[in-house]
Amino acid sequence: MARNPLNKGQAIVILGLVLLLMIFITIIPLLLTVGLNPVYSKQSTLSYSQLLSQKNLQLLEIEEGNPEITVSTQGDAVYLNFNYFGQITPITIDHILYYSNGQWKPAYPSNITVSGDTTLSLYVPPGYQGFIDIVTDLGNSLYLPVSTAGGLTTCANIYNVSSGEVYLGTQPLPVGTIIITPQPNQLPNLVHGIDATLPKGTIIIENGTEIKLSAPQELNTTNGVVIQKCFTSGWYPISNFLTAYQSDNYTGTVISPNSPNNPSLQSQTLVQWFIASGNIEPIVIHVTNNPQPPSNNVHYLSNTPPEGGYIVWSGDAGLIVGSGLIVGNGQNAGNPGNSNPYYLAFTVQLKNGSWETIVDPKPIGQGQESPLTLAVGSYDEGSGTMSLYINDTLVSTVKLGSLQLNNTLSAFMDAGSASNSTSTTSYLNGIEGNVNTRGSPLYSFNGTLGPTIIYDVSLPGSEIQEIYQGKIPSSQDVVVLWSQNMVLQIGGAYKVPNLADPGLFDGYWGLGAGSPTAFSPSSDIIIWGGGAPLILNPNILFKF
Amino acid sequence: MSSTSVSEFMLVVIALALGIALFAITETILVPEYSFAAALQDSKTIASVTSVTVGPPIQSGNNLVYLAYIYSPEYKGNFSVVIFCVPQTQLQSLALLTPSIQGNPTVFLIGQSDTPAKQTTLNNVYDLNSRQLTGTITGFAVPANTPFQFAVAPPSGDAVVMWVIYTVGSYNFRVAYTFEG
Repeated sequence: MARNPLNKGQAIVILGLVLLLMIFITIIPLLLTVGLNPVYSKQSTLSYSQLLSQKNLQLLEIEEGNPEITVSTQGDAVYLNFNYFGQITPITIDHILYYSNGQWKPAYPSNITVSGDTTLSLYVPPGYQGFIDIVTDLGNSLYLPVSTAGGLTTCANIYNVSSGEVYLGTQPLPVGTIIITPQPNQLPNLVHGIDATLPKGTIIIENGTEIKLSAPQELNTTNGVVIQKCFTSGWYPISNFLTAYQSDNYTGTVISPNSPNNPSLQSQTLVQWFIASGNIEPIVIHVTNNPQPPSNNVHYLSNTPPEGGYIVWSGDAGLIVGSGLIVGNGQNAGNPGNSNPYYLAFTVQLKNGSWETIVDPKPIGQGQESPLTLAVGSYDEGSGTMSLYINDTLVSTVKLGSLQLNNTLSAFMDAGSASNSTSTTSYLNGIEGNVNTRGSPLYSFNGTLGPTIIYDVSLPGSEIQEIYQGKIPSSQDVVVLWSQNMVLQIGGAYKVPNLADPGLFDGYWGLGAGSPTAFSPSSDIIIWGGGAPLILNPNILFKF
Repeated sequence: MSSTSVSEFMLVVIALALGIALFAITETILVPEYSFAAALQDSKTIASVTSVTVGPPIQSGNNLVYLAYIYSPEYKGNFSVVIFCVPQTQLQSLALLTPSIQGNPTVFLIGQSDTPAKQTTLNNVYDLNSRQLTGTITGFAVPANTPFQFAVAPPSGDAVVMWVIYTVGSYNFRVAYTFEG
């Protein structure tokens, strides 16, 4: 039979159609899948780094008082205040909330953009004393307690030419010029309409050019404004130093904390920033055997606690700073030193009541004020290893063998002193937060203290380095975190909550002679970011 | 039937068989693979601009009350949150922990204290490395960029963990997580 050309053509068409069908049934599901999946192309217009940068910048502006945000009360009414101390940066608040009876509730009916000094009356129950939470449009969440006081606002020795015409002698200073005086508060917070005198040593920074005045010079602000740089330290990562004794014991009539006296630690790590100044007792270790010259990696056994300035005391371990270092045998401490350089030691009290101490025989700086220094002491119960670090450097370590510490429940935790009695022999009892007498000079520190961190583990050296770099490693092991950036005034007492576990081991500043004497006695203000300082003047850092 | 017709019929049958096979491969392998990859990419994009804030706990009876906020500026929909408790000793492996003890959490949107957040059933939650974390678990739907509160009663020594789950198509991805305690 002859071939039918029409059938052949039909077959080719059918084959073509079938092939097309095959292509379609393969492609169509894919096309449908692609078409139906949402594509967030707009996300790419706003990168994570941009967002993070904007968020952090907003927080930084708030920290610098642009605006300063505070909560105040007048009678039973509660107000949220926005006050600008520098260039006005508008801020949009999406949510303002308060807490009552187990519920967070709106304290303001709408969002609001603040672009100048503003006071909002909040919709809260009369006499509300709890927290106010503010959420900004950039996702920053700020918790503000209604009752805040106690050194929350600190002004640095830094001034900005804010507006108008300001002259240094006859030289005009453009807006944005920075003026740094040698000491804090040498000019009013707001300089306007007067001729002020800038002292010798004042630094003027104009468009990146730095000038240091070799003699006093007039600052003319008749038609201009110069504003001091002030920081509000409510819940923000800003802290000044404390010059006072701080204890977790407060026996005043206002507060009766039920927390135990100390965290009863065996393995532990004590972390304390400090600047030593003025008279402090030398570190004196009354050893039980023949005294040896102080040395690294040697432990000194004594039946009494070493003397010296206890910058932190956990109840059975302490970091000690002294003006001088003596390893003696029955030797009296003598008068507090005022000319020796400062030294650092770490001591623990063992279960049998005796004391083991390690030291760094190398002095910390010279002169009447030590550099800003990080002291870390750790004890590992398993191996009995004691270690002492200065900044991020291990300066002394010993192995005692597996020994338990005393951890007497009678001792209170302290920063700045460990006893108000000179008759202490069995253990250091800590001092009360409301004592009107100061701590015993035999065990008291003189100088300024930054944040205190206590861990319930012995941290490795790598994590000590992280602390020095500004991190708080192994945060789950922090049992006490006292930061002077968080101070509450409650009925006349000053409370520094334990940020690791508020309500347990909160710190209390002493009253009377034990009251804080200064918030920033050094000429340098310290801003704390996490666990480490961001320094405006790096010269005060101790170069080990 | 001629031999030509038979061969043409065979061609058609082969072509149809190939088509069906290709369709099956596309539907069972290529489409799911592509959908998962696309969903994962979306989740990674969302995760890259999402941050979570959880405030300090406030004691209320036996419960701890937390104020939380999921900031994701380009996303207007809902996330699901999964809240559970884990022993604090396990927190070093936080990224790998999965819900076991849920501690009877309750979630409320602010200003709607009488109405708990809607519970959602989440099948097969993945992390952003395509690793399946769980089978079916229960979460709560909360809107992005809106504060909400949750209350939980963690056993002594336990920390509270919160996952933020983003659902795209039929896939659930953990785009953020945090802990308190």
